[in-house]
Amino acid sequence: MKEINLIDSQKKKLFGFYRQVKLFRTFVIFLNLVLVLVMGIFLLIYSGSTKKFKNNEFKITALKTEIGKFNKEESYLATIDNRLSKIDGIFKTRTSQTDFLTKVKELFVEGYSFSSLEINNQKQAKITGSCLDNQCLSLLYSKAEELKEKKSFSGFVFGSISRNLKNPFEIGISLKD
Amino acid sequence: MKNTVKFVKSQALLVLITFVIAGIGLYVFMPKFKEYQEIKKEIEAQNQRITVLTRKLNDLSSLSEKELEDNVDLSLKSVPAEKDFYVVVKNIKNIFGQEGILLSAFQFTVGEISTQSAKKAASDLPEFFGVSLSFSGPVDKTERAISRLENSLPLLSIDLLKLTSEYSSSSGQLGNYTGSMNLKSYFALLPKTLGAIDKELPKISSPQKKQLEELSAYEYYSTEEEFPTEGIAVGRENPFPVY
Repeated sequence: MKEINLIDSQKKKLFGFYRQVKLFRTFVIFLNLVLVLVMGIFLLIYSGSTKKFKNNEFKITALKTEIGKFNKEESYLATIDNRLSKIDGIFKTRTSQTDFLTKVKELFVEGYSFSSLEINNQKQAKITGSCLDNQCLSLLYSKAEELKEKKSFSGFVFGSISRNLKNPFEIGISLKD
Repeated sequence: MKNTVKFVKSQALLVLITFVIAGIGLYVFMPKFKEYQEIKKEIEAQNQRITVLTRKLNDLSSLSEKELEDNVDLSLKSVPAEKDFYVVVKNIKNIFGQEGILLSAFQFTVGEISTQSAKKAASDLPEFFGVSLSFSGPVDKTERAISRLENSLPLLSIDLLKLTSEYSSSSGQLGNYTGSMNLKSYFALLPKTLGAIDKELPKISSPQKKQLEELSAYEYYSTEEEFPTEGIAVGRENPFPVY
């Protein structure tokens, strides 16, 4: 059976138009609602943030006041820190003459006596001394060899060996730690 | 065309409301949004500051005042705030005297007075003044004196040591010697500021603690023994003394 649409085409067009209008209105209302909602949520977040900002400022002020009560301790700590850095600087540049002198003394064998000794802050030593006999000289030389092998000194120079009536063997030595 | 006009006329209120909402959004909320972004950044910075300050407060609360005072005292004895040459002289004299070494002469190179040297305080390395000594005594005792000097406060360093035999000794190497020594005695001015309040507290590391422990064992000549502060009458006489 064939169906016949009794609504005329003019009215059909009008219905279509109203349907589109309704759709458009719904969309715009929905869009407006969303916009208002977003703005409302944003307002809430914004006021929360400003409140948090103010609270944080208050917290910081309170903490600073509390820290201010420990001014004495802080100044002590700053002094200690400052001194420790200076002490560290001193220890880094300072050379222990006691340790170096102990090492230098290892060289002084039986029968050897030094007449002059000079040590500087670069851990360099110049020694003038004398040996009474050949045996002492030989001992001194072997000791020097031993110390050189042990790498006790980075530089080891026998400068001169001279002989006179008063001091049978006078020896000049230069050392570097 | 007729339909469009009809449509716009029927939806005029809705369109107006939409424009008003969009207008409010653009003119009121957009600047607020920029402001919000700035506030958010500032809150982040504030939170960091709060963390630092809280940690600093906790650190400060946990400090022992007695320990701090002791460490300040020790570190100032090690590197005094000024050229304290009286203590240095007494210390040297004390050590040499106890070791039985004759201190025949000493000379100080005091240099600029402290107000001038204050200008140099920015350097990390401490200032120093020079001391030259002449002495005579046996080598072993000189060695002990040197060791004691190097382990005494205020900290000093020996730049040059010269020993010359007084006479030729055939009995051995430990005879009497005359000597001279150039020393550096260190000092450094105190820091003038504590730094920003939200700056982290300086931490004393364990090697530094160990260094302080070592320094506490160093010899120090106390001038308090010479000038007792207690028992000295100061001010007017009490008219009602208790007998």
